Amino acid sequence: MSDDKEDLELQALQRELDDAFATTRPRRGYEDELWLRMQARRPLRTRLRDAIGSVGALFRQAPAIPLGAVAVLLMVVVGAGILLNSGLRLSPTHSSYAQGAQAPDLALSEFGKLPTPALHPGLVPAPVSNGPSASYSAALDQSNLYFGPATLRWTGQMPLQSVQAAVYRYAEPGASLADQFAASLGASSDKQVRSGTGFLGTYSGQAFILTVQPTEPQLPLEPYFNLAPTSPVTAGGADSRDAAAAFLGRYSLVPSWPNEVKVQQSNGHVLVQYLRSFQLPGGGVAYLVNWIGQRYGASVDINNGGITGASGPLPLNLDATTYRLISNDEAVRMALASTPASSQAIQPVPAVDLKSVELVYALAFAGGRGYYEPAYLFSGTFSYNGQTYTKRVLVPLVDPTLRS
Amino acid sequence: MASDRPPFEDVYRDYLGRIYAYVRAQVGTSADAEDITAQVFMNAYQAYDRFEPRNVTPAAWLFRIARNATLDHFRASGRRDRLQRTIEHQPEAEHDPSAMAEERIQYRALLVHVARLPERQRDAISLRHSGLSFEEVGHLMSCSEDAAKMLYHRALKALRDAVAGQEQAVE
Repeated sequence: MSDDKEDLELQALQRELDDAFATTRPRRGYEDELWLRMQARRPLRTRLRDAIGSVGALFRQAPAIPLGAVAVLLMVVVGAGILLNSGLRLSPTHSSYAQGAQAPDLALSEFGKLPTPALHPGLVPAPVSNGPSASYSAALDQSNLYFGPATLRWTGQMPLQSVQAAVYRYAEPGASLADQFAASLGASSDKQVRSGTGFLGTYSGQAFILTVQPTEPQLPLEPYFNLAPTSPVTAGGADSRDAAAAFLGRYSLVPSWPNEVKVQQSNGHVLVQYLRSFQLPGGGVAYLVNWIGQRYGASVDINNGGITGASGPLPLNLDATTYRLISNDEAVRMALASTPASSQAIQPVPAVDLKSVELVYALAFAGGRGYYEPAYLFSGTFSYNGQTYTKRVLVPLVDPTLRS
Repeated sequence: MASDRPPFEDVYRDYLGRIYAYVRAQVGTSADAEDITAQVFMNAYQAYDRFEPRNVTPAAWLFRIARNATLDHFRASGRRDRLQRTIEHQPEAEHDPSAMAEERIQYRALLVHVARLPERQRDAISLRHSGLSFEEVGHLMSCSEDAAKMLYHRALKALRDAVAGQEQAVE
């Protein structure tokens, strides 16, 4: 073969390769789907920070990407109806969001040994030993969390009463339950938006895409749905809170479990959160917190006046039972003796006065089941290099001998 | 000093297609390519705070993550065997009509030939035609720019021979 002919052949092949690589692209919907999944794995504060930083981009790009998802993590909610009126069993449809009333009296330790809920840094960056860099510091706000070693002291006031609180449990759902849930919203399975892994199901309905994801045990995070309109829905109502309620109401997804509505705004991006709580037998509620000790629940994302997404816990049956809980004094001792969630340390090791404590619920996952367990969340702050950091300590209240 | 990192959303939009194409040329099915691409961007997302654009371009940074993710994919137990089987039965490998509709048939065949090349040749072709310079290709493959050029041209000839061999077999 002559050199000229070979050159021509190779050039033709190069052009063909250029075309092949330039035109090989993922299927339609994949970009949005993946974006949603990524957002769902991020902590609230990170998403809000980015939302603030990229608002200009959001305006430019309108809603092709469900940046609404921008909040999904926060959105991510706990799965399912909480308590029960008549026996703890809630309907598997999303009407099971029905708020329960009070914890049932069940046999001690009915669920066997429980996994232990714990805080961990997750995706939240932690300070490095030689101090944060300038860019790093700029990215953090006053609510920086610190998971590393600290010398702890309790200077707050514990409640006088010992805690009474139930433990709630769900079984990991399968695809059929996700299908049921989708059907209740008028959505059907959609291969166009299916993903290879990571979803219990992907669906399309009238002008919306729905994905349902299983428990993410490494965080953990309970099964949840993301509902993203194919184009932004004009937010009606007097304010963001009303708009979010109206949007959820359209799909019968307004949480009926105990919650507090919180609205966060930043330059055109509004996040309406329904922070989930569990009712306590003696009255009052305890909020559910995630792996960084942050309250969370269902959420609705509003960008520039348009609703771009909603997310919440997949409705699941919850069983409940009671366990022997430790005393408040013991909880303080355990908090002060706790092992840091991260070895990344500030030097010298900071001294932190834990000044406040809150009764919360935290999720732990093991053996294909998720457990909402009562815990005390202690917190205190300290300063380092001009930054204020928050140290949180989670003390599970179920007697340690009943935990694995 | 403020970082000059672009918003991650921009990087995501700009590179998702290119990363997917690169990965797709390495593996036998679009489903695997989707899984690996997802892993690439999940990893990139988590590491973005540490990305330093003064030292490396977003393309080189992302393609390094993609290359590692693809190698991890092949290292995973049984994956290489699965890939081999997939490649050997490539015409029947994609049963999903929606997936097939997304890729032009003739290019799918060409990418099958790319996927059959030895690892380094496959990498050189894929990285180069994903828009990287030879310098970047060499950097990613731990060799000089000149070595990357030589490797690429050798790969190109091997690919041409493979395509020609297939055409002769069909005739």
